[in-house]
Amino acid sequence: MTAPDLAYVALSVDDPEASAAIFEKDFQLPRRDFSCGGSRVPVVSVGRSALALFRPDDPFLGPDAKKGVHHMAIAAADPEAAAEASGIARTGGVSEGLGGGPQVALSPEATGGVRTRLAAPLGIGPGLSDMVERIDHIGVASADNEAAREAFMDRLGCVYESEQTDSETETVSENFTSDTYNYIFHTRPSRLVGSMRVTFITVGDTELEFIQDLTTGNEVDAARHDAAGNTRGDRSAIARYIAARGAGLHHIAFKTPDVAGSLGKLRAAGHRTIDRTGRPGSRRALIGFMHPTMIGGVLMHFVQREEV
Amino acid sequence: MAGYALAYLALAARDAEAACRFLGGSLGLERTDVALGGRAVPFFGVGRSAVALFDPYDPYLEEPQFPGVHHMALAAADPADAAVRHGLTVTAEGAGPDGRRFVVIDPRETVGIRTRFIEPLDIPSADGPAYRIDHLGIATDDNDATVRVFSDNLGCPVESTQTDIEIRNVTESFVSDKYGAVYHSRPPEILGGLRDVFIAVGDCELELLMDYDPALKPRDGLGDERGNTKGDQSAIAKFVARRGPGLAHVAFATRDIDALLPKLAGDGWRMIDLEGRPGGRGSLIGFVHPSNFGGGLLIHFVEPQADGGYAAKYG
Repeated sequence: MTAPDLAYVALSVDDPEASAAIFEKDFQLPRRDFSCGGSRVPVVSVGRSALALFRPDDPFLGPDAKKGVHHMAIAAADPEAAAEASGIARTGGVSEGLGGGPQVALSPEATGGVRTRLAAPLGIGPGLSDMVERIDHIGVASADNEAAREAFMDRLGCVYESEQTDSETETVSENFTSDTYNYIFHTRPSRLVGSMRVTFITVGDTELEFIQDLTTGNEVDAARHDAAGNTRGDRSAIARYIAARGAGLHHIAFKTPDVAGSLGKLRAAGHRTIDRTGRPGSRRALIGFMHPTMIGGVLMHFVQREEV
Repeated sequence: MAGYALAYLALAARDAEAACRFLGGSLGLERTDVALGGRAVPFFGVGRSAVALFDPYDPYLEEPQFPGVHHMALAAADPADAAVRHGLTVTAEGAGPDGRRFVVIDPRETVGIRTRFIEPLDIPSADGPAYRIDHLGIATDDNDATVRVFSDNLGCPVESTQTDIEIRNVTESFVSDKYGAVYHSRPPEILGGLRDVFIAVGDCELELLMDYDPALKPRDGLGDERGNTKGDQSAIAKFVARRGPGLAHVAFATRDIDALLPKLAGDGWRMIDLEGRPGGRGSLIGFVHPSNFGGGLLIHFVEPQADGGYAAKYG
């Protein structure tokens, strides 16, 4: 069993044409349109994979699709045989996939909530620009990283990449400075305010990033989409996402050579960004978030890091 | 610059009976019932001063009436003359506890601190776990104006000044089995703070508490968790916003706060702090919950630096 490739990632957006134009113009990524069930679907090459842009009500996505990262398609020359080999339950039979080839949808209950399809490769060229090298990872709000490892590694043949624990602790000091009495500098015990376990599993030229909140006892913070993020906010975002939608695909990250420069270019093009410069992220990286309103409802960020 | 000593401090409690049990029973302060307008008012001697306990709507207490620390009375042989000498406006006068003559000073001339002059009272006190009034806490938005009134005009010396700040430091750690560990500390963030000035009045001080930075928002929920500087700052900011500047709490000096606070809890009093935490002037402090006395009356204890205080506990 060779490790599978990623055929494409389906994004559910307000206006696929407008979003495709942003990827073409501002990200300088190649675009090609596919016809799918009578509608024209813009597809943008990113690295050796691609983003396919759908409206939320496109019947190809199935019922009740919300805005965001909708599903991913693992490349399989014979999707039915691949599904059979994995032993993972399907949600239907073979149907016509993006680009006209066959596809099979796997049951999300068996894949940690990740809506996964097995589909014939799209057969399009690679996408590379000054801003984006490839999809760095696809973020998954995960309730159970062990179950995700079993599904994607043991059953679908993906390769383990790495695992890490992110924590945020706060330490409060009180400082009393008197002109007459002793100076007091009093530090209270440190407190864990957020912690996540993050497991990376390789699919094609990118990774699935399964983010599991380890601090479920902590209150979730209020929405922080307008402030530069941190571990505490990130774990709150994951906890809120799971509470609202259940586990599943959460965001998409692009590998860039210069996170601050890329954010700056997008702002110069009139787009909102959450971060203005890189902040520490997983895998010894600098990360910086775009605002989800840019690509109608999809949370995206840049990642700048050295390969190990 | 001789200044003035505190004759008594008037406390108003919805549950005056509980407050009497607390002061006379649990703290063992010596009680003297003092005649006032045909009734008896309980006074509790403490150090060289006393606290007097009133119903919030007692006619002796001028408007506005609410539970808490109502006024302080400074001892003066000739109260009316004292007001004149300092150029302060008298809004009321009469015969008070034990027939002693008193004058009420217009609080607009004392930065909201309700102040009277009264002929000296002789309230006996006994030594005990609360051996004197350490300070009267004053919520203020103008330390300088208060110093001008009580120090420059009335001659009470500034004892010390202090700045309290609470700072949060946050560290993020990313520990990977492949990429190693990244530790990232964010810049310190000021959560809250106070600027304090202490002015001596006899054997205790006025403790002026002013918000370090009014832009720091008060936080809700004070009183359901152990105290801290941020919570204190919130309490002061909320007090000033609600009532304006003025007397906010009374603090008694004790020699062993870590013995006293659990003892009071054992007596059935609801405590905010069960052990001494860092306080002003190198002390340890611990608060009693106002709900014990029907709300509004805030009392805390201080183990001064001279009795060990912060250094003895935390080094």
